[in-house]
Amino acid sequence: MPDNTLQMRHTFDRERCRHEINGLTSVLHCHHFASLTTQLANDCQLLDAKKLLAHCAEDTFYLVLTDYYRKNNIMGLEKRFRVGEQYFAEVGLGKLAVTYAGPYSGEVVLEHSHIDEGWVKKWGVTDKAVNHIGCGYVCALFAAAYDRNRREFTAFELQSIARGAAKSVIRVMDVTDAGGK
Amino acid sequence: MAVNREKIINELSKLDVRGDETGLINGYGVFIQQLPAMIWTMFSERLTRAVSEEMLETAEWLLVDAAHECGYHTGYGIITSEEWKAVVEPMIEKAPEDVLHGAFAVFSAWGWAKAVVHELIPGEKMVIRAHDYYEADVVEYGRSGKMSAYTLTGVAAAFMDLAYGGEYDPTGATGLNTFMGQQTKGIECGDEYGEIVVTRA
Repeated sequence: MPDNTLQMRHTFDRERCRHEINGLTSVLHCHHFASLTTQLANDCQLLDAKKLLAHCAEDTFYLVLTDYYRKNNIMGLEKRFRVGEQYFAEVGLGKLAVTYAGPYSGEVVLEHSHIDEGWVKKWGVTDKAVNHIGCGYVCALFAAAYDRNRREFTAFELQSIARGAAKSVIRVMDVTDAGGK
Repeated sequence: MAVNREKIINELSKLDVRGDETGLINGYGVFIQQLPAMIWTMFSERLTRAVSEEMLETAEWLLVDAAHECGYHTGYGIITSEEWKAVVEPMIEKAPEDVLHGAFAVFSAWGWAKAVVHELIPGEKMVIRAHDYYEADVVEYGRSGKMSAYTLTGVAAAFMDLAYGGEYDPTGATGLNTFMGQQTKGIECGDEYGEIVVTRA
């Protein structure tokens, strides 16, 4: 199997009734749950819960991706991005493709997005950005691919399916003074 | 009781759930994702620990509400699915009580919690006990003073809505929120199991 092909090791612990994917407890949830959690984040402005949700996604997926790269010796940007794109699709988050990447910026396109399409299915098109989880994922993907740390990239949507566009486009930017390594 | 919980868990925990060529998972009438549980527990824990004491009840209610609505729609999708018809429906002798027992077996098979119906007063009250649930993972040492099983609480109430709240309403305008859940014990708080008491709203 080529080393840029994601391998998902899925097990079920019958004693504890837990699913694990590549060693991490994983759980099924639906678009209602994701949409309502996103709405909660949008509404909770005192805490900037949108950023909180994005950071939770970044922290989670940074762990997933760096662990996978290390254990499977995935080296090089192309292989790392391919694995990240496949993981995003395997877990049901949508179809993501890195358009370009550099140490200071990058862009990804989402032809399909669980968060956006789930939101539209539940409530229809909105005028707000809703894919905080997707932005967190993209920050994690770039940080992991470049052997950088969490919070060294920031991401924001240029357009989104939830706001009526055919595709979502997320821009990633380096936020450190040091720049890329 | 005719419901064979072991058989349901064995059969339905094997479902291969993964995104198709669009990267989406369509099933049970909803879009599904299968993410690391820590993304959800991290969000709920960081949120509830960051809000002021006055805002805590509201934040917790919103977290439970997200699960309640999710459980209502996905729960309906589950009990009308082909998998349910093939595995669970032949075991149903007394509805909706057996449906509830079957639903919590599916709940366990999906990895939400190792949960069983401990007590059921039809149409009035249900007590759920969970001997393992991912939301307890927010505490790894000692015991917390705050209960954290928001998903378990919301979904338990949703299942009572489906059982006794009238006909399923895809808009959620009726049927949903006829019951409410209250967590009374938590593994994260040092208890042996998590316990949710569901009563009429």
